[in-house]
Parts: sequence; structure tokens; C-alpha cells
Amino acid sequence: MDFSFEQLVEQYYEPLYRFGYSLSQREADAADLTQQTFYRWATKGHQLLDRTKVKTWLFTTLHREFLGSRRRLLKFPEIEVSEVEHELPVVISEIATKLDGDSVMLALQKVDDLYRAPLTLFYLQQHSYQEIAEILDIPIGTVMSRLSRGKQELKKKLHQATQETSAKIIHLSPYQEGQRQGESRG
Amino acid sequence: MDNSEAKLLLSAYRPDGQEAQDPRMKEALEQAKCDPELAQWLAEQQTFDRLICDKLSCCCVPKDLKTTILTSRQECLSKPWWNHPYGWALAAVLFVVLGLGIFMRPTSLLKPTLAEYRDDVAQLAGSFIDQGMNLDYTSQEQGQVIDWVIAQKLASRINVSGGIGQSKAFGCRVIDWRGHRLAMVCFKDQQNQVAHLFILNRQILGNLPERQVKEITRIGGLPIATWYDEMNAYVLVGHDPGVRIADFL
Repeated sequence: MDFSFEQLVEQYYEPLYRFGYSLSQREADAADLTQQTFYRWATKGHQLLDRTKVKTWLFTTLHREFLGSRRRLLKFPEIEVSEVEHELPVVISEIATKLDGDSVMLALQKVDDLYRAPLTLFYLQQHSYQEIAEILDIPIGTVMSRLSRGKQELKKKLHQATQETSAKIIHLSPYQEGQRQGESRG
Repeated sequence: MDNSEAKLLLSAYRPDGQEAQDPRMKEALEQAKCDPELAQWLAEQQTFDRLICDKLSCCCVPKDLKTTILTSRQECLSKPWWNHPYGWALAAVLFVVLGLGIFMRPTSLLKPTLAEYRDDVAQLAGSFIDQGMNLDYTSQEQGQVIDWVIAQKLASRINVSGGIGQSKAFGCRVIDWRGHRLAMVCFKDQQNQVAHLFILNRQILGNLPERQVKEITRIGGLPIATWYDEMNAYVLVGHDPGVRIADFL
């Protein structure tokens, strides 16, 4: 399996950018991380012996670039199965339906660092749980518990996002808008 | 498997069902078929996951990002040698010199030397350390790691004595080096120092020195020890410049 640089960029720049954006929470940083990842590939990609692992290599590299750029060590405590048992989901799909892609990304960015990376990799639909374990260098059991916990947290953030959006809609409703204008005129 | 365990597993089940044939998932999925409460939970989970996947795939990516990446690559590429005025002449001279060198060398000299093995492996280890690496096999039991290396026919016997014998092997990886397979076994000692032991069948190397002495040096800042026994040639590379490589010997 071999790819040209252009093919790799075509196939992976969008999911890599989204992964970078979810981690860094800044568009410019996400673009830099994506560029830096492909630069690494252009200069060091030939050292990858197993060409079937290109995708994992790219995402691993971006994650490492991100950790390096933050210049601080992240400590990822292990989570036991029993800790997540009682928190498994309450359905809020109807809430998420109301939000657009960027709002969902914003909610994802508010999820704790610990869960955000596996969650984003999962939702980018590019990666199995084994690949996520490989990219983040954590055990498979930890990936599963982080996904479970992360989804729970994402739901809470989405719920908050919807409430904030509703609050804005109420604030700008014609009735209130009219009242506000009346008040300012009076 | 109880429902909470099944739910934990199914949290990693992708909405398009890519893991349907995964043995871990199969059992949980079977359980969901028999348990209405779990089935309901899974259906809701899948709906939510599918929705988030769709939403995230709509998240905007800067329009010029792709062009910028492709342009940056063009800039970082150096001018190819064949465009250089003397490129072809130099290539021809090198070709003749190397060709003559190869034909005139004795067969034993065609084999890579211990120093070449050490230098290549040190460079490889450096890039693994910089870029991160994946292990083909992991275990907390040194015996199991060694057995795995032997089962992969990377060595028929491995002599781990001294500090390495006291250290804990935690994984290994198969490396393809100049058309030969060799093993890299990762060790951690009691002071949490990490070192990577590369093991190669000594028959692959030519011109091995007569005296079997363990040599310690530094390459690219990393501490390196090299030695061989009657079966294998070993290169031990410290994971960082601060590793006291002698502790492993």
C-alpha cells in the first residue's frame, strides 16, 4: 500500500484538522498542527516501515505535536469500569439535532481533555478502538471507559449549549425586542 | 458479561457497525439482542453517535488549508539531484566506484559490520523515540516477551543477564533492517530507566571483532552499548540521554 503526498493530504487533511481543532480549540492552531503533521510526513514519513499504518501515524503525530506544543505533561488517570456504570446515557439526540456542526464541535471542545481526544477520534469515524488505543498510547480498556465517560460529558455540554441557544432566542424574541425598543424610547 | 460491562464495550462500537465481527463486540451485541433494556440503550446510543458523526463532518475546515499544505511541501522539497549541472556526472562516477568496490570485496566483507548495525539501529531508535513507536507485543512478563521473540523466529535463544536480567521487559517490536528481521525488546529497570535492546542473529554480520567486549558509546546523544555472544549481536539504546546504560549491563 503506497500513497502519494497529494493523496494523503486529500484523504486526511479534514479529519486531521477537526481532530486538531478539537484538541487545541483554536482554528489557527488546528491548521498549524495539520500542516506540521504533513510536514513531518514529508520529511520523516519514509521511516515508517509498515505502510498500512499511515493513518495511525498521521493522527499519532498530530497528537504528539499538540502535546509538545502545550509544553506540559498530561496525566491520564485510569478509570475503573465500576465508576462509569451508573452514568450511562440519557438520550438527548433531539437536543443535538437542534445544533449545527460548529456548535457540536464547541461542545466537544468543552469536554475534559482526558476524554476529548478519544471521543473526537471515535466520532471522526476513522478509527477503531484499537487504533485509538495505539494513537493515544493507552490500553484498550481505558479507551472504552474514556469513550463512555466522554459521551456522558458531551451530552451534558450539548444540553448546556442548547439551553444557552434557547436563552439567546428568548432574549431576541420579537416581543422582548419590541419591549426593549419601547423601553429605550420611553 | 453483565449489562454494565456490555455497555462499556458497546460505547466503542462505531455507528456504522465496523466492529460487528470483533469477538469482543459480538458477545455484547448478542446480549443486546436478548435484553430489551440493553437493546433500547444501544439503539439510543447509536442514534446519538450517528448524529454527532454527521454534525462533526459538517464542521468547517479552512478553504485554503489544503493548498497551503501542498504549497509548503513544494517549498520544503530540495531541488532534485538530476537537475543539478554535475548531478549526472557525479552519479556516474559513484556508480562505477561502488560497482568496482562491490565486485572487488571479499564475500565476507559484503555483510554489514557490527558498527554499521549499531549506527543504523541507534538512528532508528532515535527516530522511534522522537516520533513515538508502536509495539507488536506487550506483556508485563519478561519470559513471555522473550518467548514471543523466539516464536517469531527472530532469535533461537536470548541471553539476558546482568542488569537487563533484573529489569522488566514490557514489550517488543519486529524491525526490518537491510532485508533482515531483528527484534527490539523494551526494558525498564528499577529506577524506571528505559532502554531498548536490539537483537540480531550474529551470522548476518561480517568481520565481528575477535574479543567479545561490551562497548559503550553515545550516538546522537543517546547512550549505546554493543556486544555479541555465540548466537546474537546486541545493541542496547537508552531511551533518553540521561539513562545510565551501564546499569543494564
